[in-house]
Amino acid sequence: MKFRGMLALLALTGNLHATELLWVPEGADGIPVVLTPARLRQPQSEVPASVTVIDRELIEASGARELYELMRLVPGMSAVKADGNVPTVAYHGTQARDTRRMLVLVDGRSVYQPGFSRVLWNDIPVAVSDVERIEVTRGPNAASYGANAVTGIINIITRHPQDSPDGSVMLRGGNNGVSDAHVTNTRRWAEGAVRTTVARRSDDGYDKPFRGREIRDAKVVETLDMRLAHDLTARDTLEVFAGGARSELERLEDGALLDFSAVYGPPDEQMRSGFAQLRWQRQWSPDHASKVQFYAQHSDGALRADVCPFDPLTGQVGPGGGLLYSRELRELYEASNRDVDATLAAAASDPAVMQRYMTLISSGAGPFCHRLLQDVQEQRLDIEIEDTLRISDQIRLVAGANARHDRGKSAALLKGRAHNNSYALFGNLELIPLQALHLNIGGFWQWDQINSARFSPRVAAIWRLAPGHGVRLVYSEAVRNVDLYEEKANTGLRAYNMPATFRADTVGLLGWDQPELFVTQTAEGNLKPERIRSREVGYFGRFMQFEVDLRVYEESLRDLISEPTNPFRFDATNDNQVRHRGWEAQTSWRPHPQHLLRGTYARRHTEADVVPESRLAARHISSMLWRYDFREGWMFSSAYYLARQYSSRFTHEQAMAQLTRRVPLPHGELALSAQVEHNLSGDSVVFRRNDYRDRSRYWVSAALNF
Amino acid sequence: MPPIQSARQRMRLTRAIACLRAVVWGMLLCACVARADTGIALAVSGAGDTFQTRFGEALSASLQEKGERHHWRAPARSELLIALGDDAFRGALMLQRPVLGVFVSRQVALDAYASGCACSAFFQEADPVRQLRLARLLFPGARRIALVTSPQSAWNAGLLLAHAEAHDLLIEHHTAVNAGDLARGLPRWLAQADLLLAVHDPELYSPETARLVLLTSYRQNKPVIGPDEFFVQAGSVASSYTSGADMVDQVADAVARFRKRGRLPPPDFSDHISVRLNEHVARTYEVPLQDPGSLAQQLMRQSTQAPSTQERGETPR
Repeated sequence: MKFRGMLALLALTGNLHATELLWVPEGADGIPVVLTPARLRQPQSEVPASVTVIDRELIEASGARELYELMRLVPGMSAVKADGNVPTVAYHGTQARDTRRMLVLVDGRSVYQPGFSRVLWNDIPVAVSDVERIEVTRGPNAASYGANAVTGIINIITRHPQDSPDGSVMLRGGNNGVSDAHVTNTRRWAEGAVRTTVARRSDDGYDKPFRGREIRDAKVVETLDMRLAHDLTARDTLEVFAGGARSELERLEDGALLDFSAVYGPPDEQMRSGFAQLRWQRQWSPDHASKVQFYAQHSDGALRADVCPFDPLTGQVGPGGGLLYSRELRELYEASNRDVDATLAAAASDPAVMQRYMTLISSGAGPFCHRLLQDVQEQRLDIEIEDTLRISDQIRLVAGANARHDRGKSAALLKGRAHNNSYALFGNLELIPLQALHLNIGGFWQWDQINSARFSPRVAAIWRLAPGHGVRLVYSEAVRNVDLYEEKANTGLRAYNMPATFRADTVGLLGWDQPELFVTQTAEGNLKPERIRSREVGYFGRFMQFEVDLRVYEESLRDLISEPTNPFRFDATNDNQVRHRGWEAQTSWRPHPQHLLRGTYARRHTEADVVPESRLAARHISSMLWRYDFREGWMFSSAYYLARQYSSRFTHEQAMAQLTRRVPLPHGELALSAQVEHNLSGDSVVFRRNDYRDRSRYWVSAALNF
Repeated sequence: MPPIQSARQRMRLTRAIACLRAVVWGMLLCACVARADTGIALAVSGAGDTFQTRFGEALSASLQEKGERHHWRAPARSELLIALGDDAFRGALMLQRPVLGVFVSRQVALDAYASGCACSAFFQEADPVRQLRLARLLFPGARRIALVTSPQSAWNAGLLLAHAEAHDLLIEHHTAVNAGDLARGLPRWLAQADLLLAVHDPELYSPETARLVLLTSYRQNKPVIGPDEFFVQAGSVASSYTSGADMVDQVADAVARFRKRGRLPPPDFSDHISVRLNEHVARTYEVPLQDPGSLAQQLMRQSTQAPSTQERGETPR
């Protein structure tokens, strides 16, 4: 033990006790000020939005296998598999497959696909066990994150590699074909660490036959995820993220396809995706931080189906089916103002079409069976710089700039490539003019080649009744940008893998060398971005072990593109609007150190002028969760989820129970878990065909962490 | 033995003895008067010259305020030797004088006390129970407290568990042998807790591990309380601690008691404390900003309301 003189002490401890008689134990004098962003972070009662935070404790208690399932804990969030293997997650969702109006970030990287306005939840390469926290902002947040944060934003934050176990192996199995596994490895060194996770999950989807037919919605998803963090200096941190996913999905036959084809090779969808991301953060001082981030991502998907078109005259499979892919029928279709019914009605009387038909019939060829391929490739390059500065205790500023290049390629949907460059400037100013009053003024100005210049503002006033209590008034606007497909769609479903006879003389039999289905769609390129205007009154309060957040809102969505935009029907207009009004509450209460109770409720009234915009508009959505750590190493949790009136009639009501035992081992622990989920309502999920054979699904898992 | 020769000789002898008695009584009286004038003989040892001098000056001032007379003597001739720090405390014990250790490691002090020394000490460590009380003042909703100690600081758990049980709190105690253990375990342990109570343990909470501890807790949104004011400056939310000035007051009280009762209290944590609060970090965690002085007063009030070590009939903590 030794002492330091005061002079030395002052030099060592800066402003600490400048004139105080201070005892400095050995070793204590060298503790550096750890520059964390904590000083720049807003407490929840001061955030100018309604926020739901799902932390590790809730994630464990939820028993979620897949990321999307965690979203059921968010008030007002629809998180269901509208198709058995494709999750739909939408805050204040309207369309059943609508993920277009909500932004999803993983570690600051947008996984919102630029070309076709969607979020591929299956292909997000993050295992649930690697998620540290999910922060969901309910309500438009384009002022902070730019276009497409229309109804809300989900920010998934993965576990820092320093916080990951050295190694982990997990196996899970159960009914409904559930078979999951993951392996995690973490390497550490003095200044950093890297975590790598390889995971695989599969299930059978909705497995109850519908109208006598099996539902094709099984899936297999494999992901790889790497996160590296390295402290370059005490002020600089470099992070590298990389990963990818590979998914194989069974798909249902498209209704339009079945109208004119026999499907002999049922559709399957394959997706390959990958990304790399670099992030450099510098903490200039406790009150000033900068961040530069760059990422590149690529996805390559294809929906395949093997079909034999019906002969339009006989209605049977045969060589006459080739007529649907003939040049002459395409020309008639164009001459009929792209009206499918009018085209088919006029075909029998069109000499050129009939000539083509006779050629096919007399060719001696077999049925015109071939493969349909709907290919989609999307790429994004994105660079962003952000600066956070606390100018004084009363003024804080976050500002930055972003540049982005989006590119899409699809033979079936774009007949080639399309791209879009965008540039953005953003800023958010937090002012505290009075101790109890916080003002937040922000905006995101964005220009891109398709949507031109747009500005998304937000103004919020938060009255802090007391520390930990805030009443907020928020007004915000946001846009969903018209995507590459909506702007530049030019569809053409080509016939691949044709029979040898057709391959040998394609021009002779079908009139052109690259035959396409006669139906084609072209975007007119005159769409405007969808817009939302939101007003809300909210309250966040914390009383001892009880937390509550309330939100009362009115949201008006205009210029919506609601009608189908697929290769068979493309009715893209800005004609529709939706209005939501309602209120939401989320509470969390820890009555005892071993018990956690959490509940959410959302009541929504939606006015939509077209049916598709109300399919996912559940009037009541609620959840309840109880976690009980009842003995050393034992945990029981139970959850209840309710969503009323999906598709105006189906109630989704589900209960879950989970028991987990953690067994300490000499160098780690073994976690054993058993879980059961039960469909209480017995209703289908969103659509009539979505049912499980067994209303209870259960699985067990074993995880070795070391 | 020769017989007494005469009455005159006997008378002379009697007078001589009376004179001698008078001289001795006179000397004793002088000594008593001298003592009454200058008070208890104190000495301070240890620490650097600057700190020792300032501590001595501050102690003199505090004792004078209390009306306690004292004077300074060389350590070997003092009536009470105040030793600053472990090394000085160990050295002082060799002098066979009553010793009051100040800023002494709890273990060093208790070892000496158990061996029967005429000594006591005020620990350099913060009282973990008081730290827990501080945590509860700042985070009334926190019920699950993560406590990570090495085997050397595991005694903290013993003190905390009894208090926690009485206040319906859950102490999640984990042991980490070294910083590597801490790095691997802390993320998992924090996930099950509302906050981390960091205790004095140079193995686990040091300049080398401060970044690890604070960044890990920040990432999980779990505040850290303690272990000392230096960690607060680095980024933990708050800590109670004993400043030099607090310790001066503490020692002045102990000297006064020693003068009155002739014995020292058992080794213990200091009753006089300060609180340091990192306002920026506290604001992030939505802690109502309070005056650190007022927090310290509340803690000291709570300490006086709680039964003391002696009243509980326990061995010194």
